[in-house]
Amino acid sequence: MLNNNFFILKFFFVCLFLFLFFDYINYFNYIYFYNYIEIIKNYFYYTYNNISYYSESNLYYNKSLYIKISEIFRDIHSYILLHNLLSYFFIFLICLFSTFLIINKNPMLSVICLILVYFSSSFFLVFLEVHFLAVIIILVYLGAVVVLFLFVIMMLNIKIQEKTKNLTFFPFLIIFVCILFFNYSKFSISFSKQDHPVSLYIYDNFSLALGLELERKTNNIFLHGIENYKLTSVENTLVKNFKIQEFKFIDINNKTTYNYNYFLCTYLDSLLIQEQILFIKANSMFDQGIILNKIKDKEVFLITMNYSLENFKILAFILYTDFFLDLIISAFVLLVAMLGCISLTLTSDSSVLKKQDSMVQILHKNSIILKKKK
Amino acid sequence: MFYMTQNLFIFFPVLYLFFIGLLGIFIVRRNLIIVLLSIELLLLSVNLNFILFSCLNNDVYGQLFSFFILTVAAAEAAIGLSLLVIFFRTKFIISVDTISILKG
Repeated sequence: MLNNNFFILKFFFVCLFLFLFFDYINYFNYIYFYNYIEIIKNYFYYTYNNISYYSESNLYYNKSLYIKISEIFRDIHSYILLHNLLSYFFIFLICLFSTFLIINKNPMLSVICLILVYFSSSFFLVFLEVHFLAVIIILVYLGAVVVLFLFVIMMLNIKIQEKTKNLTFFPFLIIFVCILFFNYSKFSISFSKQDHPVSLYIYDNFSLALGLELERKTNNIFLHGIENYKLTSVENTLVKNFKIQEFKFIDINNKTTYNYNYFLCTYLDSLLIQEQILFIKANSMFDQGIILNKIKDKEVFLITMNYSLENFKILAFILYTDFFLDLIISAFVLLVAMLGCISLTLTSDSSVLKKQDSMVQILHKNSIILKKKK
Repeated sequence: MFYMTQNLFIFFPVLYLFFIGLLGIFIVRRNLIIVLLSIELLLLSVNLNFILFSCLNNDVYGQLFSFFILTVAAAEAAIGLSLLVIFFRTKFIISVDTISILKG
C-alpha cells in the first residue's frame, strides 16, 4: 500500500510536467521560439554596463540613429522574457511549498511552508507589476494571519498525529487535468483572436509603449496631443519607419494648459470617439482619476499596470470614491470577527475571569480615603 | 508587464493552489490546523485569480476586490483559530473526525 504523501508528490510532478508542456505549446501560439541564454546574456550586459536602453542621453551617445529597429525590439523582448522566467521560478516555488504544506505532519512546519507560499506569491505579483497588493500580502497575511496561527500552535500542546484515512488521488488528478485542458484551450482561442478596437493605454515610459504597440502589429497608430513635445531619437526612427500618419502627444503633466479638467472632458471625449489608439502620459493622481472616470462609462476601460508607483494612487482613488461602502462593510466584518473571537474564547468561570467591582475597590483597606480638614 | 499578461501560464498557480486546498480539506484531514491552512490557500488562489484577470483585462477593479477577500480571510482565520482553541479546551485533541463533539 502506497503512502498518501507519495501520491501528493506524484501529483506535483505530473502538474509540473503539464505546466512545461503547455508552456511549450503557448510559445508556438503567441511568440516564436526564444533563445533563453542569449536573453539572459543581453540582460546582464545592459545592467552591468549601466545602459538603460530607453533613456534618451545614452542612446544619443551611442548614435542610435544607426541602430536597427529589430535590435531594439529584441532587447525589449529580452527584458520582458527575463521577467517571465523569474515569474515562472516563483510559480514553481508556490506550487512546491503548497505541496509541502499538505505533506508535513508537523503543523509548525506546514505554517512555515505557508509563509514561504505567501512570500513567493508576493514576489510573483511584483513581476506582474501589482506592487501594492504584493506589499499588502506580506503585511496582512504574514503580519497578522500567520502570526495568529503560530501563536495558537505554540500555545496549544499539540501532539503530532498520524493520518487516519488512506484515499487515492486519482479521480482528483483527472478532474484537475480536465480543467487545465479546458481552460487553456478556451483561452488560447479567445485571446489569439483578440482585437483592440478602441483602447487607451496610459504608459509611464513612452518609448517602451511605442515599441510594444508596434510589436503588436497595429497598423494605424494615431498619437494626439499638445505640440512642443520633442521626440527622442528612438521614437523618431520608429515613427519614420512604421509610417505613422499623424503624431500628436498628450502630456497631461503640462500644467500650462488652461482649465485642465475642461480640456480633458471635451478633448478626450472627441478623441475617444475618433481614434483607435491613444498614448497619454499622465503621472499625477488626479489626472489619472479623471481619465478613469471618463473611461468608466464607455466601452473603453483599459488601463495598463505599467506605472510603478501610480498603482497605489489609482487604487486609493477608486477605493475611497466608488468602493467606500464596501470599505465600511469590510471594517464591520473585521469588528464582528474581533468580537466573535473574544466572546468565543471567554470562559464563564468566575475564578478565571477578572472584572471590575467598584464596591470592593472602595471598601479595600488600602484604598485612599478622602477626609475633610478640620 | 504587458507581455507577461498575454502569457496564460500565470494562471497555473491559481488552479494548483485551489486543488491543493481542496485536497487538504477533503482528503488529508490530518488535523484542524491543516484544514484552516488549506482554506487560507483557497482564498489566496481566489485572490490571485482576481489579480491576474485584472492584469489581463487591464482593469483595476479586480485588484480592489481582492482587498475585501483579504479582509474576509483575516476574519475567517481569527474565528477559526478561536474555535480551534475551544475545541482543544474540551478534548485536548484537534483531529477533524471528532469535531462533532462541539455540537450544542
